[in-house]
Amino acid sequence: MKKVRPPTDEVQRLVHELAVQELELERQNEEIRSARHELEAERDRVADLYQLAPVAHLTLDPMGTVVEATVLAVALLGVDYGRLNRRRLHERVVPADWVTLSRHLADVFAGAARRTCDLGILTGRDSARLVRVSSVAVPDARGQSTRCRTALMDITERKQAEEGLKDSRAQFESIITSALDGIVTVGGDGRVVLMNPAAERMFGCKAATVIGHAFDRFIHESSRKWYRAVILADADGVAGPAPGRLGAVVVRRADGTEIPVEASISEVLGSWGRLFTVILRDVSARQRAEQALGERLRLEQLVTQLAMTFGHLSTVELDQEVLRGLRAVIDFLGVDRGCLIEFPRAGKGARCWAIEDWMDVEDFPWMAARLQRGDFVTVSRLEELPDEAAVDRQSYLTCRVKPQVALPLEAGGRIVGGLVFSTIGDDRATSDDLKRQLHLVGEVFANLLSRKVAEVELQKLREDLGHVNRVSTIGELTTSLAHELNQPLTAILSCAQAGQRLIDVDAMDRGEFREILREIVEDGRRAAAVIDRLRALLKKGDPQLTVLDLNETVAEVVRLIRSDALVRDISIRLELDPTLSPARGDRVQLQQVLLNLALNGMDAMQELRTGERTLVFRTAMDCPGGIRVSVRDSGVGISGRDVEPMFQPFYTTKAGGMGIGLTIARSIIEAHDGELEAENNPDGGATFSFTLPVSEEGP
Amino acid sequence: MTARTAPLVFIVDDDASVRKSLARLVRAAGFDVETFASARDFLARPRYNGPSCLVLDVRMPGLTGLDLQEALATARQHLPIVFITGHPDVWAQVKAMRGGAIDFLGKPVNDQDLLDAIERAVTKTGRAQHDEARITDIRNRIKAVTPSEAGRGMGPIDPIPRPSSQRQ
Repeated sequence: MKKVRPPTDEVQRLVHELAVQELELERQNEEIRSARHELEAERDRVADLYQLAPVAHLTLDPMGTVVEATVLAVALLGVDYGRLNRRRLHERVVPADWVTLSRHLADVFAGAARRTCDLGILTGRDSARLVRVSSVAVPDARGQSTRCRTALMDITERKQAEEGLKDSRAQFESIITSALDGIVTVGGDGRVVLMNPAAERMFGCKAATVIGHAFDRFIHESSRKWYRAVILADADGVAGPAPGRLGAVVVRRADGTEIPVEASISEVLGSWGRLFTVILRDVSARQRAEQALGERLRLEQLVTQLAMTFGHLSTVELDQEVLRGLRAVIDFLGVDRGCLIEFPRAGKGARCWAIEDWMDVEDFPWMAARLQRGDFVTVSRLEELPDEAAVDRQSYLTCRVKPQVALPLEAGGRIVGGLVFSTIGDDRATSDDLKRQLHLVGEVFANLLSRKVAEVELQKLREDLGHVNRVSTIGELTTSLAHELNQPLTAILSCAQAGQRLIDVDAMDRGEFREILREIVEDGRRAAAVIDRLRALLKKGDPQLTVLDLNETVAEVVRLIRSDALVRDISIRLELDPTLSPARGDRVQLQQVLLNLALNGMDAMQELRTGERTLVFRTAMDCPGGIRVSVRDSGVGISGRDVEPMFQPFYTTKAGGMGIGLTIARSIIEAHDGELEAENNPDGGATFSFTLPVSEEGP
Repeated sequence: MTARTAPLVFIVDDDASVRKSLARLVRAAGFDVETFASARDFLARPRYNGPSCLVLDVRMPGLTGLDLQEALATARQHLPIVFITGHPDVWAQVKAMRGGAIDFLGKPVNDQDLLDAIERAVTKTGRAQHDEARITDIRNRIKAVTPSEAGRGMGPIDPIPRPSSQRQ
């Protein structure tokens, strides 16, 4: 320090100032010292913190050289600090990740943002560990980034856990996604949390549009109770049924259609609250299949039943049973009306069986023509009808029976008829299902019609044969018929001749003349009655079903054979039940049967001595629900082996017999729903009897 | 018994209207008529010895016409019979004629045929009564001749004349 003469006051003042300044400096020094102490303490603390921080930390330069490393970092990297310090971090990184590391550093030093990457670290101890590296550049005093702080976190376990979770989550998601059942997760508040694709398909809407919204709009009103009871049990304060299988529920799709499902529900209680997983299985297909199966079964039952009924149909019941069958089919198909048409083999005059008589083929010429060509006709709208169907159109308007389907019935290569059903919904009329059902039903009716045609022919044949038989039976009766006719003729002739004689001799008084004429008229009528009976029996023609008093029928036959019996010394006895119910049948045919039985009985008694020949006609109500008419003879009886062949055509024990009498008799009785039987009497002879049902119409 | 002015014709037929009309016809021809519904009814009637005949139906319930003919023959009642029948069968006809029937007519009968047959029959009854007297006389005479006379042969006997068809 250079000596200068100090001015006293000045010096004094300067010294004082210096002292003050020195003091100030001393104070400042002290402050600085203490601050440095604090700073050092702080630094040590931070260093300790840094070193002892639970996070492994490194300080790296842009090249990745390790400038500093915390204890944990050293431990994490698994090497001595010596092998780490001033060496590049790359040495500790799996080569595959070098590029990642370099890029990471480049990114970090390029800006101020924190960057993160995952690196595989060679620990030297065991397998590589996965470390998450998170770095941020630290600018120096000049504002340049020459260092970065890097935190390391061993995420090997977490990663593994994460991977595992991801795997199971992926697995879970794939299950949910690919599940065929609809899966919907609903929160405790009833809002949709999750919906899988199957549920989307089921409800016809995207999950995104549904999630967050109340799920119960998809539940049909009828099924909402269980839903609310389970899911919103707490809200309502009512304990609902335990979650689990819920059985059949109806859900409503977004478009409003309803489908039956089977639902089960399970509850998950997690930290996020209550969650319900609803699993829904669409059973509409199954129900449809079940329904279709059930329907098919019912149809087959119906068809079988119809076939059985139609198979044993007598001509008497035909109309009634056809209508009954139609009614059953109509009920099955769920339509209003049905009609069976029969096309004759040749020419016009189709026949119609219709419930409520709504249809006449004549009114639907266009449809009938198409049916006859074998077309399946559906009419759903009148506008569809072509111009040539003008008559049909008018009839449709009159009958109000559209739309309808008409099915041709084919048998033996010929269209024998048609089935018409109305009213059928548009979509159903064209459905294959209906067609298939109709074809099945149609077959039964086609069979019936073709069989009916055959039966009509058979019937005609039978009638012809019956006529032949009647003629031949009458032939057997000629003797007695001649007698029957001769009696009144004799009386007439004698009366007339007596009259002539009396006039010739003028011995006539008016009273006697009147008497003679009255007797002539009476006997003329008597002769005419004989002729009538004969003619009725010989008449060829359709059976005429009427309500009959069988006692009267028996009496008529007895009148026919009386004189024959007389000639043959056969006494006839009648045991007629006066309380007999009326029967329904053809008078002539039944007379023919009785005549056959009577003549057979009389023939059987030929060998007997006079006085032992008795023919008994008996009527009684002694069979269940019916009348029995029997003809008992006291003849030779039936030899055991003859009973069955006796009813076969052309079987005869008589010299002049044709052997068709009993065959025809049996077929006549069977056509009347009765039975013809023969048995030997315990006291000799045989009894032929037939049963007939009581007429429901009354006398 | 009152004396009759006309021969008596018995009609036996089971058919009421035939019976009645035949009776009317025969009566119109001037005969007396009695009708019977059955052979038994007729047999129950006392024997009539005047000129008479029987118009008899062949077929009847119970005793038939042929049965009646047989019964009368057995009773040696020589009543001439005119058979009528609704069913002329050969066997019955043969049997009837063998039994001595006057005629066998089919129904319906022609009035003239019937009345002719009746005429013949009643004439026959007259002759038959006369013949019977003669036969009785001859028999008595035969009884009177000696066996040696008898051995020489029979004397001439008046032949019984055939009944002639006489119209009234």
